[in-house]
Amino acid sequence: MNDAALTLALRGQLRESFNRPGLDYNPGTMMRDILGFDSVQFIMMILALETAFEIQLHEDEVDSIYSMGDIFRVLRDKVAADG
Amino acid sequence: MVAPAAQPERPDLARGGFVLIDFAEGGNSAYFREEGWSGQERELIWGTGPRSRLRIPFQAAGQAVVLEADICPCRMHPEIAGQIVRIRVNGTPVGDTRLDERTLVQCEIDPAIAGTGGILEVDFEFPGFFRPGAFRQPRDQRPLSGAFFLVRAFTKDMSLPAFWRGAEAGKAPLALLCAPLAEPPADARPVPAVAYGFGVAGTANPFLRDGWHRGEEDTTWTIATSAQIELPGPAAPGRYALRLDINPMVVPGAVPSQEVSILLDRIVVGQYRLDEPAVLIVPLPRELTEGQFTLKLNFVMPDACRPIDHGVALDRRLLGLAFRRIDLVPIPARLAGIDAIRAEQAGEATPIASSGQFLAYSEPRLVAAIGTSLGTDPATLLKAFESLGNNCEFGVAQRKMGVEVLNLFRFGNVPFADLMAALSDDLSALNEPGAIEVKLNHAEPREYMLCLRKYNIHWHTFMQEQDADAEKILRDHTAKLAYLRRKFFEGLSGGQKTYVVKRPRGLTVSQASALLIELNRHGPAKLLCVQAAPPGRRSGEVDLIVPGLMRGYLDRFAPEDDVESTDAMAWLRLTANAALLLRDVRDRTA
Repeated sequence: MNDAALTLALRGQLRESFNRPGLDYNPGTMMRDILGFDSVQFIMMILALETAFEIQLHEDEVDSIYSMGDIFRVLRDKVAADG
Repeated sequence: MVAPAAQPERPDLARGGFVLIDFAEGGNSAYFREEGWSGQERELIWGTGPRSRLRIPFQAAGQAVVLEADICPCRMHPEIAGQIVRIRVNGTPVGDTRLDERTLVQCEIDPAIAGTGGILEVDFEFPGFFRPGAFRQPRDQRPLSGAFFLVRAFTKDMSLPAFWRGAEAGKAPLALLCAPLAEPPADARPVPAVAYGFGVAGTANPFLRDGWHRGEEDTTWTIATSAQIELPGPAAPGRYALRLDINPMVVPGAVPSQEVSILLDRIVVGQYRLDEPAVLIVPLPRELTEGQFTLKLNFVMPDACRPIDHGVALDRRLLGLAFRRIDLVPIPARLAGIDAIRAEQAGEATPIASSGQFLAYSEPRLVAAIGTSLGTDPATLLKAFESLGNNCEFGVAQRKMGVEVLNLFRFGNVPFADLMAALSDDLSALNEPGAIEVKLNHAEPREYMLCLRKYNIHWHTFMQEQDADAEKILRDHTAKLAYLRRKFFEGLSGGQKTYVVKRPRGLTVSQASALLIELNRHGPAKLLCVQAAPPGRRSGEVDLIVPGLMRGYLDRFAPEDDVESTDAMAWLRLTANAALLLRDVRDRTA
């Protein structure tokens, strides 16, 4: 999956997880600044990403996520590593 | 009565290749004795605690040295048969033997161990030392090991007559030391712990001997002042410990605690005073487990009492301890230092190292000092620590320092014994439908709390009554906790974290070791136990008790109803000192 496709897929997941159809992907957006963000939604998003991308995110990868760009980085590395 | 003799000015026998140390009144032992000795008695001096050290000026001149010691093991109670003695010379184990009576212990010290430094530092280690007072008769509270009469060392080329001046002159049994037990190979396959449950259908039942009553569902009471159990020996060589999950019989105002002495093969392996449910680690001397088909354990509880005598129940049984579980636990090589925790029962355990380095810095300079000394920033430092509950204080301190991490126990509250039960069960109830309940607390405004009744764990949701309905909160948070369980075990397996357990009154080293071993089932976890600073300790100081286990001190904890008032900087100093100790251990190992 190239970066553009990954960005598109991630944006879709973010919109669905946070139930915000207008949400755009911006690498600098901090997760905590998304309206309505809380730990439950964050975990639901992680689980949704794991299902959608058929990956398992390790706890240190999850702990490194602060922004949308962090999610992109983690996913790109993971997807690339899983071949 | 023997008149005290004048002390010689110097040990004039300590010349060349022969030294005689006389422990009788008027003898010369004071010149050689270092740590681990009691006061002078007429014919002898008692060793105290786990180790008694002699420092002997000695010129081995490249020869093997014969060391002889006339020792009588402390027994002082009919249940106790003797002592194990291990001898270590200049830091190297020479051998060990079991003493069941007054014995002349003899060993040969290799020239390489005797060295050329002109000093023999001889440690007599007694893993079976005990306080006779814990048996009530006699009331001696000293942690006694063996009575020393004479010790002599001489180069092997000398031929000396046997010495023995006790009442049994000429009949002295001679004990040659066995070679020290070999360390298990580093690549040995890990042996799983073996757990024995108690209660009417407990797996421990076939092994119970005298002194038990199997009336309760999940526990078994001892009903005598001593109770015996014979467990199968370990399946493979190595270091083992018992893990005991027990409740003492206490009657407020009348029987405040239970004192228990634990004997293996009639040698004391642990002594504890318990006033609440406890999970303890009791290291077992390898000499008593290696190759043993059966481990004959005896629990002696002189404070056992009948509830009916104190008007608290109609129960006429003589109750001491209620056993929930005994595990025979292998100790991983990285935690081999746990063998030394019995020292706590002879007084305060001496830490391996302490750090108070970050106490002197004011807030702005502290951040810079952490960067300089540890090469990190406060947020990254605090992320390497994970709370194990007993309220949210550390989690709040992390938040105040800008650290937001998802951890299972960060905003949870769980008593220590329940935490141990939950971890032993791999927190499996978190995946069981219906195990989690949601209810409103009594705060104003009311907050939804989650409760996992099986382990007595409570979590904040930070959702108030008006924010959402209970059903949605339960559904969402059940999924969240299931994920956090998975994340918790991923973190444990990763082996990079230090876990924080806070308990103002402190955990004994034995309790803390139980938690450390439990965490280490999954990976090389470290543990920081935080307690109120006792007199003489400064807030923020940390001791390294054994590798992997630290004890930290704070002078103030946030009140339960105002956890937000926690002093985040105090926690930062504490974790920085802990990180420094861990780094030093890593550096030494490397």
